[in-house]
Amino acid sequence: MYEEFSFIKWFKTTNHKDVGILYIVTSIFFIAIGGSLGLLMRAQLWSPMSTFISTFKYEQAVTMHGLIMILWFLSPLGTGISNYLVPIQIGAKDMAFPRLNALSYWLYLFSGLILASTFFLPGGAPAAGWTMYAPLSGIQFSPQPGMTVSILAVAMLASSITMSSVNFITTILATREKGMTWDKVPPFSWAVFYTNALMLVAFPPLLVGTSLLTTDRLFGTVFFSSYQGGSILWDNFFWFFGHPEVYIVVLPVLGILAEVIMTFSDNPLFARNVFLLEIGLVTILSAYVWVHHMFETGINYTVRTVFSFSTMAISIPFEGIVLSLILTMRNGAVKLKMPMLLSLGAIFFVTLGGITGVFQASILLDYAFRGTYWVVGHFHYVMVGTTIFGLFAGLYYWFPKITGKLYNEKYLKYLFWVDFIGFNVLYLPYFFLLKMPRRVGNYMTFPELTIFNRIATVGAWVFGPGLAISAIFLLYSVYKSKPSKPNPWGSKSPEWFRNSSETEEKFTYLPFIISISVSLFIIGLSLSIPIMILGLAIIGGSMVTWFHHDVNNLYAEFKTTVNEKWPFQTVSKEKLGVFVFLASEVVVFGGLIGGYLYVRIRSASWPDPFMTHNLSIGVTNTFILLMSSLTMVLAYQAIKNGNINGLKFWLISTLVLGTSFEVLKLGIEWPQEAAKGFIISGGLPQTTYYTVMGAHALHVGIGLAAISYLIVKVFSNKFSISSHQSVELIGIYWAFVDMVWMFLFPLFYLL
Amino acid sequence: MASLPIPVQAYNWLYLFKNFFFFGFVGGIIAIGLMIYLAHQHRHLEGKSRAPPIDRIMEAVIAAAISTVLLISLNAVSSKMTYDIQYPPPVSESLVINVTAFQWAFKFTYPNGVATTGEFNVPSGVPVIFRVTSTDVYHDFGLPDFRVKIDAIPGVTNTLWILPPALDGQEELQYEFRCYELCGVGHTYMGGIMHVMNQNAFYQWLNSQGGGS
Repeated sequence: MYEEFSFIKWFKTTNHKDVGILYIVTSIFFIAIGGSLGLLMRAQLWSPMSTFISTFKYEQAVTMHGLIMILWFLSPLGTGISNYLVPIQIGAKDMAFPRLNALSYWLYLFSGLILASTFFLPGGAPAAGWTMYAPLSGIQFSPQPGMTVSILAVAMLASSITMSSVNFITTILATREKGMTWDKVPPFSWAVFYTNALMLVAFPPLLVGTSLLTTDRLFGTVFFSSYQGGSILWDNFFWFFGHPEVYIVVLPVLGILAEVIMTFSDNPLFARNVFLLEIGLVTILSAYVWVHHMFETGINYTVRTVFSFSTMAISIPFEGIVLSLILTMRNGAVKLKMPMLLSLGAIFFVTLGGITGVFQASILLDYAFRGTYWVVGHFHYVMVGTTIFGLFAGLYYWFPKITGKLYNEKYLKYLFWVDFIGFNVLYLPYFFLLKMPRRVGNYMTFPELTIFNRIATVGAWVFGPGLAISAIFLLYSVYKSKPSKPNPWGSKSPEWFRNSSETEEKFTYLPFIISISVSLFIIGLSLSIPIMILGLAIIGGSMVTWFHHDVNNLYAEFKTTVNEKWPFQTVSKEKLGVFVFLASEVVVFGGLIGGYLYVRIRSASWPDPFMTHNLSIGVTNTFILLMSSLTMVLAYQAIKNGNINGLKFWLISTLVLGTSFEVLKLGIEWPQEAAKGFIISGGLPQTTYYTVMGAHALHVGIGLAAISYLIVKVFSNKFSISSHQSVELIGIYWAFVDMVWMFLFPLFYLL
Repeated sequence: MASLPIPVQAYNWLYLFKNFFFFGFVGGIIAIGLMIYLAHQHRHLEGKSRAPPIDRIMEAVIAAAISTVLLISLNAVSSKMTYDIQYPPPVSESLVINVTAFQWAFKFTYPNGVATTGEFNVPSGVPVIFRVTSTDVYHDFGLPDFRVKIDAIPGVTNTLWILPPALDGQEELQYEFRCYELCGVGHTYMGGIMHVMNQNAFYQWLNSQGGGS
């Protein structure tokens, strides 16, 4: 890989293998934090009236444990493994957008660090649970700055994940090597494709939810403190993300299990096409089950029954998936190597976790389960058992590929049994804690439950250290083990027979710098304005530098390769990337508009828009944006005909029109309305107007920055009749931003 | 409190749970048993010639069909049982208690205006309808021995009902109630006792408290 070890390389690399390793190592750093918090919690629960830590500290530990484990450990470990392996499996030379990939990683790392930093802020870490239910997470009930920082950290992570899913989807769709048709794509890459498609839909609602919660906390909007929005609006935003998240975490694991079991039973995947179809069904269904987290919120019987059935329906393809995995071993010469043992363990856990999940799909049974340790037991079987064992199976399986070394299995197998037994001792008792509420530091009214809690605590202190020792042993093996053969397991999967083609390394510090400055911005926003401005300034400077590099084609690829791209043969990967990104933007604005309509419909009265808004400015702005779409199209037409001067003229026209939109909106209309007393903290009409309009104005601003970039580029004579793709891409984005306005204008000015 | 009579709702719950448990247990044993069997079946073949892989999917299709029918039936039973408890008995035949959750206690208001906090009394054998809401954050009002819960959400009033069991010769029964949604620092301690009394004693108590609070 590299001739010499270079510490500094890690900060500027854009190579998918390096980024993959960074993801893997960082996620293991986060499980160390999250796991320690878990051990602390189990120690506290040793006795019903324990005073080991205060209940408030306990709630902080619960919250941080959940956030870190789910968002900063489980998905990123999957992302890390896929970052390393998917391009090799599908024969791509790297990810589709290597610099974006590095940026995703650094945003992930720094969002986690600022989350962890909340422990040291005045008022401590957030204590509202990882679900951050409103209004408890609002400024009135959680005034500590740590809450704001953590919400913004989640938003930052959501952005990082959106970028990486755009990247993965484009990579898998558009950069497969010639001959790598869909029927040959290995199951792991298929599973990663589905996972990222689901991320693309699930994370925007979280981004919207956390952003609105932030405006509530900082600018006095009332999305989640009003009765019309409030708890149930948050529930919907959160669980529309939250339930798919479970599958986001589990799907890559299913891919890993398929690869491992195929290899170690020397069989093809049983009913491969059905298996892949079933993963697809699970992906789609998982977006339609979120209401089962809200069975007790007072939603009517019919809606709950529909969601109860959809939740049960998801277990049918899931059962098929598990059966496929098990039956792959049929007639095979099964070798119980370490990755295989872990995979069978994961199947054991997913069976138990899946079956207990069916119980919870029943509304009547859920009346007893809700908010108790039964639920905790169920999702730990899925999220910890299945996922950790499955992801570790992947790590052990590809360890020789990634490090070129082969670990000694003897001790690891003992450790496997320690972990497996420890895990069950830890989580089986949870199914007997049916009455015990979650997230309580004491349970003095249920003294009869002490024994189960003690068993669980013993299990935790076996499982946790067991896992830590295996991780340390693995790390030790990186340096001390014997070199491995290129394909030690005798696998038939393509990644064992090649490496991603070694291209010229391209380094950049910008993703690292941008991510640091985003964290500065976030910490500053919650604590101190000068730090925030410093952060913004560095972000701006970095973006200008990034654009400057692109104007000079510093990172352009000159070698074009022929790729397998069905069904998008005629679309370039850049264009595909933009379209995939716009799909996530559709969900973002869908979430914003959905939230607006939700509170609007639930409000008894709403001010007449003709009284509150200046219709003539609205109409003028609509006209301006429509005109700017036209000039953008004309700019593209001009360069297609090789007319550079035409391109210059129409781009500048678009910039002028877009800028006048912003000036009219933010410079004239908003001050006018504020002078009339229509201010952001005034109530729901103001809340929705300023946030949704603000989000759109922000998008227009980003579009204007992109158009300025085009103008600089055209004046540097970088466009020609054959090379002008960025004009088209930014044109598509601009058209999208204009289109959003065509929805917003009637919704806010006319209705 | 182990010797408390089991309320009728908990009986229904247990009936349904047992059915789910039976099929879940059998299904789980089959899946895990099959996995262990297949993992061990041909281990001795390692490195030697072996039979070709089997790619018949009929058995898997049959298994999926069986579990589909099973899941639909289980959920149909569950939905029917849920439907049956959807609508509380008529208000005229029941006792209506307004439950207001706040950080960090529940307040119970009776129809005549009497209000208690932290614990409350109900008459044995008379259906009790709770109208549950919250004045600050998201709470959840749960009676674990009755296997019932309902969310207490600001701005929303949700309904839950129970039938307190017969006293069985005892003077009164005590059931625990609790908050089941993280609601802040005091969440750990948010709960109390529901006393089930005989009807005469209950109405005597209620009237002795007088109107208003």
